[in-house]
Amino acid sequence: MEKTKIREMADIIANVKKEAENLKELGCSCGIKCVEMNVVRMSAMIKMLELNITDPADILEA
Amino acid sequence: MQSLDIYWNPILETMPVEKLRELQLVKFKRILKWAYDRSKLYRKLYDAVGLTPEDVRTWDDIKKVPMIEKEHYREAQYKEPWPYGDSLCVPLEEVTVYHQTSGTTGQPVFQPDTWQDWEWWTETWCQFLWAMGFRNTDRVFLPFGYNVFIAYWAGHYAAEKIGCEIVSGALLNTEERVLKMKELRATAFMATPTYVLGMADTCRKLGMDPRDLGIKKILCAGEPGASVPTTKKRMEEAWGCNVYDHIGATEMGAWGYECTYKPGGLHVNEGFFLVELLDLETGEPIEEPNKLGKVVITSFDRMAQPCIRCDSKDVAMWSENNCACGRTHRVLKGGIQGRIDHITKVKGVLFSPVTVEEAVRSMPQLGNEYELIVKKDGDVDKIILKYELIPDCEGQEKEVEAELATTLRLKTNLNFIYESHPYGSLPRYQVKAKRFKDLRK
Repeated sequence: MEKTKIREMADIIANVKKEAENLKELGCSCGIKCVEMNVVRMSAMIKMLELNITDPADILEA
Repeated sequence: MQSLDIYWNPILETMPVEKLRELQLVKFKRILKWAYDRSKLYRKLYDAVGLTPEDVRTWDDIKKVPMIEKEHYREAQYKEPWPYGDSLCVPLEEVTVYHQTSGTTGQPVFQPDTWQDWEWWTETWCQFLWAMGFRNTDRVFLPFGYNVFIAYWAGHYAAEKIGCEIVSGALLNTEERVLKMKELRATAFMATPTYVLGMADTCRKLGMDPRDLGIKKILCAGEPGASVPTTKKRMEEAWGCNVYDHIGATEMGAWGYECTYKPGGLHVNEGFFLVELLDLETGEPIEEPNKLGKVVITSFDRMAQPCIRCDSKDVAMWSENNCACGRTHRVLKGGIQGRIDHITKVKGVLFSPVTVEEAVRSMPQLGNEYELIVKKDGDVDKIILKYELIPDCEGQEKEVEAELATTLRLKTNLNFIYESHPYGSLPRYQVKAKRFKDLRK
């Protein structure tokens, strides 16, 4: 698999993570519990993407 | 080069070995620091030998890290924050799932998981369900009780994540389960080897041939049977399909599995776990194939209650062969070879009960169930094998016992006392079977 594509996926994952955190913060500041708790679940899945893609990307210097 | 679609994650599963080791070291250091900073249990364990996370810099340094056993968890638990006590690394409110060990070896260990941890369990299962050929076209039946034991909970969620259709047979009895599988045309199911064979018996009692149900694959867990060739053969012949083994434990996670290429053992999921084999006498790491060692497990990414260098009490050996599937992850030859706490001396001879399972399951005259009892008669060890003849072979005790005596004498160097029991009279199990009893302890 091309290293550039692995890096591209890792970069997208980082952006998704950042956006999810922003969303959670916004939801919390507005007192909307469903936003916070759905993002908790999303974050767990994003973590799995980090374990599957981002961690090896860093080692492979992708 | 294999097609990429046989892998759940081709990046991790086919990573060059030297890069994989680099990744494992990074992940080992990460979980070590996490546990040291947050867990009173691990802090105490490491402080006792003067070890800090910074002391682990190279692969060789890993062996300096003290091992943990179930007893450590037991001592740390049953106190506040209830019930996980000093083993917990996250605020209690972040724990979303409770499970516990079966208590086979003592007081059950409590296992807290956060939502992320549970996603991690599911992810590790996805990898091996995919490797076993589970796909979104499968209708997966789960004949499992959905109780406090972790067992097939992760199998449920992982199969769902892959896109399979799940059918829970939780509160049905065995007859109802096989009838439901038939009615719905299930294509796969998950169970212990003991129960896989028991379900086949139930089908026959109902006048059905299990092979006619159309099951394409079976995942086994909970007992080593699916890696014992003769037991595996019995299951595959009974159901007319592939049977795959996997290995895991509540406090460690699911760390090994068999792929569709059947490499004669279990792949280690080296992207998510560090599996060390240690010499049974010296404790030194074993890297060469065909040498039995103690299995020590580190789960890199489980955060609520980390598992770092956990002594699994299992015994295994590395395979000298790479699997044709193209995965770079190592293979444990023949799966788990036994448990240290089951390997015992009888009449001064080292004895592993798995060898008896191999012998019993290789003889078509014998039923699936047996029981093995070691006891003292005065100062002398006695080893008793209780067996059942299948109904068609009643009256063949003499011939069967002669064959068993020859086989077991060769395999174990021991003489057994044989007891024939009527077919169906020995205990039947739905989860882990307890066939070995050492009454000397």
